[in-house]
Amino acid sequence: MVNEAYTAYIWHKRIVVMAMAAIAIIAAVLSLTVGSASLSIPDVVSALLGRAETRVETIVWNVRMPRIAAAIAVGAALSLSGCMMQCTLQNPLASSSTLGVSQGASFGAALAIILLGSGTLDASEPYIVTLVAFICGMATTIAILMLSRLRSSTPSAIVLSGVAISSLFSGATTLIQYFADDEMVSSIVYWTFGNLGRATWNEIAIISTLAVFALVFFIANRWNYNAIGSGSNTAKSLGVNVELLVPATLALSALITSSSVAFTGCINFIGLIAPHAARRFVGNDYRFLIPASALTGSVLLLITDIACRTVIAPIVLPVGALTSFMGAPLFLYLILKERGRR
Amino acid sequence: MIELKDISFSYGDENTLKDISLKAENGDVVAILGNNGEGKSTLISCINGIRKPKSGEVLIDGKAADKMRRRELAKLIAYVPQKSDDCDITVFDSILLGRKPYIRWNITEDDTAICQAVINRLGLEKLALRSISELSGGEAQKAMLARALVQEPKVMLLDEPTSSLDPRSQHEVMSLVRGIAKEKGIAVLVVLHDINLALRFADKLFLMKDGRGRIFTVNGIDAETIKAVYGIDVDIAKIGERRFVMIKD
Repeated sequence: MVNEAYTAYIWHKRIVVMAMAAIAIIAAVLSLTVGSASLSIPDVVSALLGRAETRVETIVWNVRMPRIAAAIAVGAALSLSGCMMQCTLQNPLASSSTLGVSQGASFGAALAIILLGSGTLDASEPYIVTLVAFICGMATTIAILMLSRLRSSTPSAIVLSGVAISSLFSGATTLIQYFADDEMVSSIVYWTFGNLGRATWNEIAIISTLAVFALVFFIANRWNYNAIGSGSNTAKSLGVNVELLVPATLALSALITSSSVAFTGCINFIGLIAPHAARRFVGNDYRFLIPASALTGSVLLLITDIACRTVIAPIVLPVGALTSFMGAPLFLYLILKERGRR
Repeated sequence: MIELKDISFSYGDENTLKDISLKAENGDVVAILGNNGEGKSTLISCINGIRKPKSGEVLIDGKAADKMRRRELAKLIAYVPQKSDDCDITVFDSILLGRKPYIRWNITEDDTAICQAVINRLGLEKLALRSISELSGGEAQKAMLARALVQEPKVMLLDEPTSSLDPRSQHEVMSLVRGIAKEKGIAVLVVLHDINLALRFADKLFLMKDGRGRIFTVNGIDAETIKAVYGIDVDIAKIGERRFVMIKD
C-alpha cells in the first residue's frame, strides 16, 4: 500500500529532524567546554545544575551560555530567513546577505548609532537601533520584491541587484563613518565583523522571541509554502493568498535578520548555506525543511563559533569572517549550478 | 456546471478577451481552441481567479466565483498547468497538495485516503515516492491531473496539458480526462492545440479568434469555420463515426 510506504517515508524525515535537534544539543554542550579556561563535560554539567564552584559557574553562565544562546538564536533566525526568501522568491541564491538585506540593516544600525551619538550599544538603545536596522532591511526587501516581479528577472539577475544594493549600502555606511568621530567609527567597524560575544541576555531574548514568532508563523504556513514551491499560479489555484503571504513572509524574514544584525553584526552566508544543507537531509518539503533549516543554522553557527574560539586560541576570531570563508565557495557553486540548469 | 457571462479582460489598452460567454454542464469536456495569442490561457486564468476580469462574471453552479474566498473557490475549481512543477518533492506530496484548500492545521487520514484512491485510479502507485522531477512528461501530467482530482472539484481547467507529450501520452492523458469528467461529473475546460485530439475527446469546441469565442458541437464544425479561426485551408474527413481535420497542401 502506498499509504504505509508514505507513512514510513514521513517518519524517516521526522527522525532526521530529531537527530538534527540532538546534534544541536551536543554541539551546544561541546561549545560550553571550549574556551580559554578548559572545562570538562562533568564540570559543565555540574555548573548547569548549580553544583560547581563559583568560578566555573560564572564562566558557564555569564561568558559561554550567552554566546551559545546567541549562536542558536541567530543561526536559526538567519537560516530561517534565508530558507523563506529562497521559497517566496523561488530563487536558490536568495538570502539576507546575498540580497543586501543584511547590509541594509547594517547601514540602518550604523546610522542609528551615529545619530544617537553613541559608539556602543548600551541597554537603552538596542530597540531604536533594531527599529532603524529593520526599516532599512525592509526597504531593501521591498526593492528586491519589486525587482523580482519584473518579468525578465532571472535568479542571477536578482542576486546581481542584491550585489548592487549591498554596494550602495556599504558606500553609504562608509560615508556616514566619514562624519563620525573615532570612537563611533571603531564601534561600527568592530560591529561589522559579526560577533556572538556581543549580545546580552536581553538582546538574545529579543532575537529569540522574534525568531520563535517567525518560526511559528512559517510552520503554520508550511502547506502554503509547499504550494508556492510548485509555482505561484498553482499556489493561487490551490487557494493560497500569494499576494499577502509573500510580502508578509519577506517582512518577517527581514525582521529576524535585522534584529540579528542589530545585536551581533553581520554574519554572512549562514542564511544561504544552512537551508541548502538542510535540503540535502530532508528535501524540499517545508513541513520538515523549516525546522531542519532552523536547526542546521544553529548547529553551523555553533560549530563555526567553536572553530573561532579554538583555531588560534586564546584569540577569538569574529564569527562573521569565518562564515564568509565558508559561504563564498558554496555561493560560487550554486551560481555555477544555476547556470548549468538554464 | 460552469457558466461564463460576458468576460472581458485587457492587458493595458489592448482587449485580450471580449465578452466571452460559455457554458459547460457537469461531465462536459469543452476544448478551447485557437491560434497562439488569442487569449486561451488568459481566459483560463480569469476563470480560476489568477487574473481579475475587467467585466463579466464566472458562475459555478449558479454562484458567482468573484464573491468567493480563494480557498472556497479552490474547492470548486482545479487547475492543471501546462508544465510540470520544477520542484523536487515526491509525487505523493505533490498530489497531497491538492488537499490544500481543505487542510486546516495538518492533513487527516481522509486526505491521505483520497490521495491513495486517486493514485490507484490513475495507476501511479509505483511512482508515488519518486521525485516529481524524475518523471517523464506523460507521468508528470498524470501526477498534476491527480492533484487536481484530489481537490474534488466541480470544474477542472487544463492549460495545454498535451503540448509537450508524445502521441501515446497525449492519448492517454486525454482519455483519462474524458473518463474522469464522465465518471465524476466534472465540467472540464481544456486548452488544446491539436484539433483532432479535441474532436476525439471533447463534447464541444470553443473556438477563439481576436478575443472572441464561439461554441460548436464536434459535428457542427466545418472547414470554413476552421479557416476563419486558424487562417488555414482544411479538409474534414469522416472515418466511421469520427471526424478528422487535414490541412490542405
